Amino acid sequence: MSGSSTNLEALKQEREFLLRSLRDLEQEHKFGDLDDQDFEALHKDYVSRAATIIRQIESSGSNSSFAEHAPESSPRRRGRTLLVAFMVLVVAGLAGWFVAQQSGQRLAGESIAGSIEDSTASILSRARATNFVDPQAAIELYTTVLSVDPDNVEALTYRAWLLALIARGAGDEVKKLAFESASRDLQRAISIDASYADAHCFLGIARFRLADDAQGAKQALTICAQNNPPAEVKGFVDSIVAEVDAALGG
Amino acid sequence: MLASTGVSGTLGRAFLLVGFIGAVFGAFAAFTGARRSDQQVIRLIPRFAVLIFAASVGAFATMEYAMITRDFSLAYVQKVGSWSTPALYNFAAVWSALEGSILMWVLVLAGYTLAVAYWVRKRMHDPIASWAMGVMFVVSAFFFLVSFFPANPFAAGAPGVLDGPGPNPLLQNHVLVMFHPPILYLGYVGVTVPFAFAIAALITGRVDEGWLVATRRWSLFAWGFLTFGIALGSWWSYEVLGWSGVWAWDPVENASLLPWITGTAYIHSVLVQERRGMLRVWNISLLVATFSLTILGTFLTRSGVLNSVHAFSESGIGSWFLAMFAVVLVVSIGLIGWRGDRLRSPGVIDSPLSREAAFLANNVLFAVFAFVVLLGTVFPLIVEALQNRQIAVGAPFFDRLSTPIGLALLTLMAIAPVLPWRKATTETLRDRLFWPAWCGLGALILSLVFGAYGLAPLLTFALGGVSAGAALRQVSLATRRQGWRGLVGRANGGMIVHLGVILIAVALGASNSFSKSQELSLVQDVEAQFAGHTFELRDVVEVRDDRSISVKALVLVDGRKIYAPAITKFTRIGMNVGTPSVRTSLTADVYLTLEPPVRQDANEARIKVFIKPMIVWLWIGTALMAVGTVLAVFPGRRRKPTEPTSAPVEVGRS
Repeated sequence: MSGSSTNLEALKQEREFLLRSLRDLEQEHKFGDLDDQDFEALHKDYVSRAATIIRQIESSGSNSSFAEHAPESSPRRRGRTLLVAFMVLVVAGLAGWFVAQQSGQRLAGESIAGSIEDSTASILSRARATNFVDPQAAIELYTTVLSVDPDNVEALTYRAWLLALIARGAGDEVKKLAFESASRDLQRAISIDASYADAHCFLGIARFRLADDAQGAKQALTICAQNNPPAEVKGFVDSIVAEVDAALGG
Repeated sequence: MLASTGVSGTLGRAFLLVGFIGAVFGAFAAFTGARRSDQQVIRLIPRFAVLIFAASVGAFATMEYAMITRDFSLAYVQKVGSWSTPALYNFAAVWSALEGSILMWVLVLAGYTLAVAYWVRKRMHDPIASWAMGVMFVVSAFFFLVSFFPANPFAAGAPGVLDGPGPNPLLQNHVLVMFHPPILYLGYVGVTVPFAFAIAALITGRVDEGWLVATRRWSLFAWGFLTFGIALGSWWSYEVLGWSGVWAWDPVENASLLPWITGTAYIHSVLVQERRGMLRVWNISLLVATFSLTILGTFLTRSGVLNSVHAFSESGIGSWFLAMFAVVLVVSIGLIGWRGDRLRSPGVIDSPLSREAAFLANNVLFAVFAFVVLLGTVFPLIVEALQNRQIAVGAPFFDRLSTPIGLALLTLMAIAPVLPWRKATTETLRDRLFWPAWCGLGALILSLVFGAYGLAPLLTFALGGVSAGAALRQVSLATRRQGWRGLVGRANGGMIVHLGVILIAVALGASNSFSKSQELSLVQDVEAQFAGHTFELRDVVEVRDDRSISVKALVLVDGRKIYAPAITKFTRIGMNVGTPSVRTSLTADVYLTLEPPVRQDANEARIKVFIKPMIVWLWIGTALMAVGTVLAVFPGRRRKPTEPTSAPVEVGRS
C-alpha cells in the first residue's frame, strides 16, 4: 500500500470517527452526561476538526501527490512525546535506584525475590550462618526472632554478643551503651535458662573487654566453664581466661 | 542404561508427534488458506484443530494411565509416582513436575484451539479468523515440540525401578493441588486467543474495533481464570505453607501476577478503544505484553534460573522459551511498526475529567506496577549475569512500591465509574460522588472505632468505602433501570468485580497491618494467653501411614474447640512439611503452626500463633470477583459501545 493511500485511508477513518463522535455528543448532551457549556465547546472542536479533515480529503482528490498534504506531527505532539519519554525514564531510573537500594546478599536456599516468613528455627539457622559473615544482617535476623519469641535464649545471647563484637572498636561512649544493652540481653537469657553456657561465656567476655570488669568476668567465665560450652565458644573463652587472671593478679 | 519405555512411552510420544504434525499442517493450511482465500484449504482448519486436540487428550490420558498403573518404565513416573501416594494426589502428580505441566499446557492449548475453531467455524473464510487460527496452531506446534524434545514426559527411566518418591510433599498436602494449576493454566493459555486475533488484525490490517469486540469474551474468560488461579494459589499458600501469609512476592507468584496486571490494564483500556477509537497501539501492545509475560513466566518457573517454592528443577527448556519470547516480541513489534499508520488513533482525550482519562491513568498505574514487579523479579538475575553476584530483592521492595500504587488504583476505582465519557463538570462529579463519599467517611469512622491506625490502612479503608459506594451506586442504577438484568453484562458485572477487589484490598490492608504473632511454649494442661485468646495443650499425638509420620499438637483454643497443627515427615523424601490449623471467623483467623523440634512423648510443644484480622474477606472478595466475571461474560441488555452512559436501554435489545 502506498504512503498516500494509507494517509487517505487514515484521514477517512478520522472523518468517520469525528462524524460519529458528533452524533454521540448530541446523544450524551440529550441524556445529561454533558452540560450545555461543555457540549458547545466539544461540538465546536469536533466540527472544526471534521471540517479540516474533510478539506484535506477533498484536496487529495485534485492532487496526485497527496503525501505532501498528510498531517505531520506538530511541535506540540513532539513535545508531548518527549515529555512522556522523559517521565518513563525518570520512573525507570527511580525504580532502578530503589531496587538496587533494597537488594541484599542472597543466602543459600533463598529465593531471588520475595520472602516467606520463616519459622524461628529457620531464621535462627540463617542467622547462625551469617553471624561472622555479616553481623549486621545476623543482628536483624535475631531481632526478627525476638519479635515473635521474646524469650528466645539463643537470639538474646547471640544478638548481644554480635553487638559487643561490633562495639569493640568504637569509642568509649558507644562501648558503654553497647555493653549496657548486651549485658541486659545476656542477663535476661541467663534468667530464662541459667544452664545455657553461651550466655555466661559472652557475658564474661563482654564484662572484660567492654567494661574492664575482671572480677565480674571471672565469675561469669567460671559458670560458663561449668556448663560445658560448645567448642567454638570455648575457643573464645580460652583465649581470654589468662588475660582475666593476669588482670586479677595485677 | 535406560530401559525401554513400553507401551505408554511409545504411545505417548506418538500422540505428541501426531499433535505436532497436525499443528504444523494446521498452521500451513490456515496461512495458505488466508493468503489465497482458498476455501478448500480453509475447510481443513477445523479438522486439524480436532486432530491436535485428540492427540493432546491421547498423550495426557496415556500419562494418567501410566501414573495410575505406576508404570515405572517412564522416568517421569519414577520421579513423581509412588505406590503409597493416595489416588487423588497421584492423579494430580501428572502436573506436579516440569514435563507433566508442559503436557497439561499442551492439552489446554489444544482445547482452546479447538474451541476457537468451533467458534469461528462459520466465518473461517474471513482472513482474520484464518490468520488467528494459524497463530494458535503455531503456538500449539511450539508446545508440542517442547513436550516432544526437552520436556519429554515419556522418556525411558532407569531399569529395575519398582517404586518412586511420589510428588513433592507440598503437593500431597491439600486438595487445592487438583484445582490451582489447571485453573491457572486456563488463564495463562487463554491469553493466546486474544493475542492470536491481535496478530491476525495486524497482518490483515483490520486494526479497527471489530476484532477487539469479537474477542472480548475470550479475554474476560482468560483474565477470570488467571484471577481465580492466582487467588487459589494464595489460599493454598495460606493453608499449606504454614507462614500465615497469602502472597510472598516469590518470583513465580510474580510471574503469574505480571500477565494479570497487563491483562487487567487491557480489559479496562479496551473499553476506551471500543468507545472512542483511541489507544489502538496501546491495546495491542498490552496483549502482546500479556502473552509474552506468560512465556517469560514459564521460562522463569521452569528453566531452573531461580529458587522458589514453586520452581521446577533445572531443565533444558530455558533456551526454548527464551527463543519463543524473543520471536513473539520481534514479530509483534515488527507488525505494530508495519501497521503504524493504521494504528493511529483518530480520537483524543477531550478532558482530564472524563472516563477515558481515568482509564488512561489506570493504565499508566498498571504499567508502572508491572514494571516494578518485573524489575524486582529479574533484577537479581541481571546482576548475577553481569556481575556474578548473588543478590535477592526482598518483599519490602514490592510492599513499599505496591502500596502507593494500590492506593492510587483504589482512588481511580472510586472516581472512574461515576465519570461520563468525554467530559464531566465538577457539578456532575460532586453529585455522583455524594453517596460514595459518605460511604468512605463511614468506613473511615468505623475503622477508627475498631481501633485501626496508620496512614496506609486508614486510607485503604476510606478509599475502599468510596469505591464500594461508587460501584454500588452503578449497580443500583442499573438494577433500577433493568431489573435483575442490571447485574449482568460487562459494565454491571465489572462493578461486582470491583466490589470483590475492594474486599480484597481491605482484607489485605487489615491483615498486613494488624496481624499479631507470638511463639508459645505450651506445657500440657497449662493455659497460655496471647492477644486475648487462650491456648491449652491437650496432647501430642503421632499418626503413621505408609508414606508419612505426622506429629500433631492438640490445642484447645479459647476453651472451645481443639485445633491440631502438625508436622508431617514424608519418609520417602525425608522432608518435613508443617500443616497449620486455622480457626476462621469473619473478624479474625487464629492460625496455629507447630514449631520444630517436636516429640510425641513430650508433654510440651512450641506453637506459633498468628492472629490475622479479616483474612476471610480475601476469599469472599475472590468469590465475588469470580461471580462478577461470570456476570460480565454473559451478555447484558447493554448499550452499543458508542451510546452515552446515561442513555436508557431499549427493551428487547440484547
